[in-house]
Parts: sequence; structure tokens; C-alpha cells
Amino acid sequence: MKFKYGAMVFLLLFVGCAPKSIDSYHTAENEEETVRLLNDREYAKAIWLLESRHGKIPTDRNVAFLLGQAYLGKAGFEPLLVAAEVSRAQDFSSPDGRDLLPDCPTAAVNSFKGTEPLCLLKRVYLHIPDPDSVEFSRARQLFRAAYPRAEDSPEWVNVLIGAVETASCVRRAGSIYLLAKRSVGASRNPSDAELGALVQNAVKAVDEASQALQRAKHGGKGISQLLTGNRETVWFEQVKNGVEWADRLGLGNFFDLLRANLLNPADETRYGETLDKIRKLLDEQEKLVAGH
Amino acid sequence: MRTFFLLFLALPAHAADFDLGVGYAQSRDFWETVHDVQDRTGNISEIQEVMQDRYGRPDVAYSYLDAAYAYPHDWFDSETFSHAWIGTRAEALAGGEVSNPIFPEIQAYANSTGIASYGVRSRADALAHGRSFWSFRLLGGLGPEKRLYAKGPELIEAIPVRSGTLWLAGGEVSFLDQSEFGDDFWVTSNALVRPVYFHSSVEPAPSFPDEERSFWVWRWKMQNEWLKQTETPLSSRTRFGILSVVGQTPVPFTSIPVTWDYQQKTQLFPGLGATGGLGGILRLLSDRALPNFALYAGLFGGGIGGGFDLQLGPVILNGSTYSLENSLTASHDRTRLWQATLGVSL
Repeated sequence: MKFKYGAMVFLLLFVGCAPKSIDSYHTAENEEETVRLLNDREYAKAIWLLESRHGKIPTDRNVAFLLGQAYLGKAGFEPLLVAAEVSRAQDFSSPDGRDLLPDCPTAAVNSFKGTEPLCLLKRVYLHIPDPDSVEFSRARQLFRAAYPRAEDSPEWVNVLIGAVETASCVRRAGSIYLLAKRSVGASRNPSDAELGALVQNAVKAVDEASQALQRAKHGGKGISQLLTGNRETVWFEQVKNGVEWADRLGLGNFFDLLRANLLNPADETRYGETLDKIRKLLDEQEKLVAGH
Repeated sequence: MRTFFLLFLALPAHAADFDLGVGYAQSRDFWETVHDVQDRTGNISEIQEVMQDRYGRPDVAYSYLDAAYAYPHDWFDSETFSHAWIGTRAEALAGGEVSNPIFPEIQAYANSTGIASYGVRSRADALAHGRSFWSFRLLGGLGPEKRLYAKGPELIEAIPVRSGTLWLAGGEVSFLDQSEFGDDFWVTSNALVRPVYFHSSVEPAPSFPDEERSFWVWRWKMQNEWLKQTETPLSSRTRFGILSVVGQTPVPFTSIPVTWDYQQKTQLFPGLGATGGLGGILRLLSDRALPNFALYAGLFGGGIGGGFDLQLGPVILNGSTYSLENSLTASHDRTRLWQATLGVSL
């Protein structure tokens, strides 16, 4: 009898001291551990652990999607935080803040009703990470790979992916606008390096806008709401036609169309050489993208 | 049942035909967080401030009032199930959690449930007569429930609270035994198995349509004390030893609400570490076993916990704290619960 109870004591000691299956080790081998790391904002640790798992099972979309979320966190992109910062009183004293739509109001915005959409975009532009940062790029790539088709993805997945694509596109559009404005303001033509960056941004922006539109179509009004707190989808409505034309015609032909219809002869004479360079670079970029 | 258990740990026979128990436990009022978020509908800055440090910090609060009456029946001859047993219980449970700052999710629940039970059991002083104590009962209950769930951009809007009725029906078998080895070693075992079917009329949230609202839960638990008795300056009958618990939510001497299993969707086997607890216990008994005082602490279900029991005549007071695992969200975060109970056995 004593032996029997001795064995039971041993068994209970074993159970009590055994490694827990639930929370002892942050192995990130399942969603449970990963979400815990995200809750603790231990993004670097989550990435380190999930990359290993993603390397072993690249087809596991849950792992890829969680890894993408960890990269977003590392990039400093917490959508609710971004939206809160967008709605707060703004400090437009940075060079970008001064040059980008300088007449936009800086006061805190409690309701976005009636707010000029471009001013809202300016706020978003100033509070999102560089879309070409390693973390943000990787997050976009992982999200697209995990859920390539918006129509087959859950609505909330489309909302998050759409927010990331929209943020990237807004940031690129802002960069293009600033480069053009500063060049014109300084009465100089952009350097070849600047033009190269501009074209790359334009190609990527169209691609991201196309993705964002697809996600918006299957994500309700959540995308703009997640980024700004505003349910209005005016952004998507405004860019939809342009992106569809660019997709249909090809970016180079779309550029030609805009150039022929929007530019006056004086500007054509003044900026013609630069615009020709842009056109050439667009062709090269499109060939590059097609090659991939 | 818990009152019986404590009474029998070290006591001479005590006729226990009427039991009353009240308990209260709380980590923090999560519905306060919910109301804070709802009060700020549309104001994303303030919502963000409320939630900023709340991720992965679940909260729970519960209270209960238990009453049971037992009387000898003449339905059949049985030493083991000699008494009929009728009981009522009222319990309230509330909790919730915010999770994942990248794509935030908030969920909260609250229910108050009345439960009636009827069954058979051993006589109250079975242990004193060298027999095991058994009980079997059927139970059923219902009460109002409200739930809330929002994800991502839904958090910014007015989050709808969904209401309905929670129903439950099931059975429970429990067992209590105390064995003495030599004159100075005691092993006390308390086991419970409780299958309960839950059904709620609350509609699932639009963004969580697959949430289960009807299911079975099998709760099981086995608690043991392995005590050596010796004489110390504190008491001539000092017992010390090991306290072990196996089962879901393995915390000792605690009456977790029945509806906890519904709100947490308790699994049959949530993992080895989540079903084991081990600690130390010290009992100080007077010569007549009353009053007696117990202190215990250990690692229960992976979280540090402990408490005290003070028994004065028919009254038992208990204060304890545990780190309970919540399965509301994927991360199964823990919350520290502080609990006080009072039991009377007449």
C-alpha cells in the first residue's frame, strides 16, 4: 500500500513539475504563443521565432499572417495607434509637414465628417512608416502570400491587408508629390536617382492601390476606418478609376494619356526632357515587373 | 461539497444536513473597460488610451450563493447513497479581454444563473465512520447572459451588447475519502466529474459567426492532501505535507462557477501543465480538531497561488489567490484572482 501511494506522490510531483504545454516557453509554435508575444509587444522575439517556423512550413498561411503582423508591430504600425495619432492635434513643423498641403488645419479632429480628404491623407502620410522599410515590405509580402485573393479571404483579413496597402500607397503618393513640388519650387529638374526613385514609387503605388481597392471591395468600410477612424471611402472612390485605367493601359500608356491631356504646351516644353526620362523608366520598371 | 470536504479533513463526526456557502472573487472589473470604450464611441484617441495597456490582461469577477439540504430517504437501502440531497445555487460571472494590438479584438461576457440540483449522497458523517463520502446529483439552470465582441475597426463604433438566456443541464458525481496510515500519515482524496450541456440563445457576433453557443463540457478534478502529523510548538497536532490537484483549472479549495466552463469553453484535456497543480500545506489542529487553521501555497495550473482556511465550529472562512488561465483569446493569458468564501455547515 505504501508503495502505491509512493508511486502516486511521484506521479503528482511529475505532473506538477512537468513543463507546461500552455505558457512556459515562448516557442511561437502556435497562435497562442504568438498572440501572447504580440500582446506584450515583443515583436522582435515573435519575428525571430516565427521566421524559423515559416521557413519550415512556408505554406502555413496562419504562420505567415501572424509573422506579417509581428513585422507590422516592429515597423511601429499599430493601426489603432496610427488612427489615434492621425486624429490628434498635429505638428506640421517637419519639412514634409510644411511642404505637403500647408493649409491643412492642425487641430484635433473628433469627427472626420467634412474634413478635406487630402488633409486626412496628409495626416496619415505623417504617421506611417516608410513603405520600403524592411519590416513593412516583409509584412506586405507575407500578407499577400498568405491571402493572395481578396475574394477568398475573411473580411477582417482584407481590412488589415487593405490598411497596409493603402498606407503604403499613401506614403508613396506623398513622396512623389513632394519630389515634384520641391523640384518645381527650386526650378530644377530632378536628378536621375530621384527620377528612378519616383518611378519605382509610382509603379509600386499603382500596384498597392490596386491591391487596396480589391481588399476594400471585400473588406467593407473598415480600411479607412482602421487608419483614420473615418468610415468614408472617398479615397477609394477617387482613385478607383485612375488605378483601373493604369491597370488596363499599362502605366506607361496611362502616363502618356495624362501627359497629353493635362499638361499645357509651356510645361511640356519646360519639363519635356524630364517627362521623357520618366516614361523610359516606367517602361523599364514595367518590363522588370513583368519579368518577375 | 467544499464545506463537507473541509469539515472532514480533521474532524470528528459532524452532522451536516444544511450547508450554506457564499463566495466572491475578482481580478478587476472588465466591464468598466468595456464601458470606457463605449463611452468614447467614435473618439479613437481616447479609445486607444483606454486600451493601450490592456492587451493580454484578462479580467474575471464572480460571486455565488450556495445552499443545500440533505435528509435520509427510504427509496432504497444503501449505505453509500443514504440521503436525498436538494440544492440551489445562484452565481454571477463576468469577464473579458482585449487582445492583439495589431488587429485589436475585445470580448466580454456576463451572466447570472440560478441552478437547482437534486440527487443522493452519503450521510454527512460517513468519513467519521470509516467510509467514503459519495454524492450524485442532476442539475439544471438558466439565467440572463450578455456578450460583446468587436474586432479591428468595429472597436471605434458603438459595440452592440447582445443579450439572451443561458441554459444548462447536467450531472455531477463526487467522491471524498480519507485514509490513515500508521498513526501519523493521512491521505485525503476529493474527486469530481461533472458533464454539463450549455445552450445560449445569444446570437453570435457578425464578425465571429462561428462562435459555439451550444456544447458539452466535461469537468473533472482530483485533489489530494498527503499529510504527516507531528507535534510542534504551534500545535500538538500539526499536519504538513503535499497538496496536489489534477483537472481543468487545478486550483484547490475553490468552487469555480459552473458557468465558467461555458464562458471559457473548458476543454476535456487542455494540456498537461494546465491540468496539474502541486503545493505545500500546513494544518494546525487543536486537540479537539476545532478550531483549525490551514495555510497552503504552490504552483497550480502553472500559476502561483495560495491561501488560508480557518474553521471555527460550523463556520469556514477562506481567502485565496490564484493565477487563472483564460481561454477567451488565442493567447490564453492569465489573470490573478483574489477570492474570499464563507461556508456554514449545520
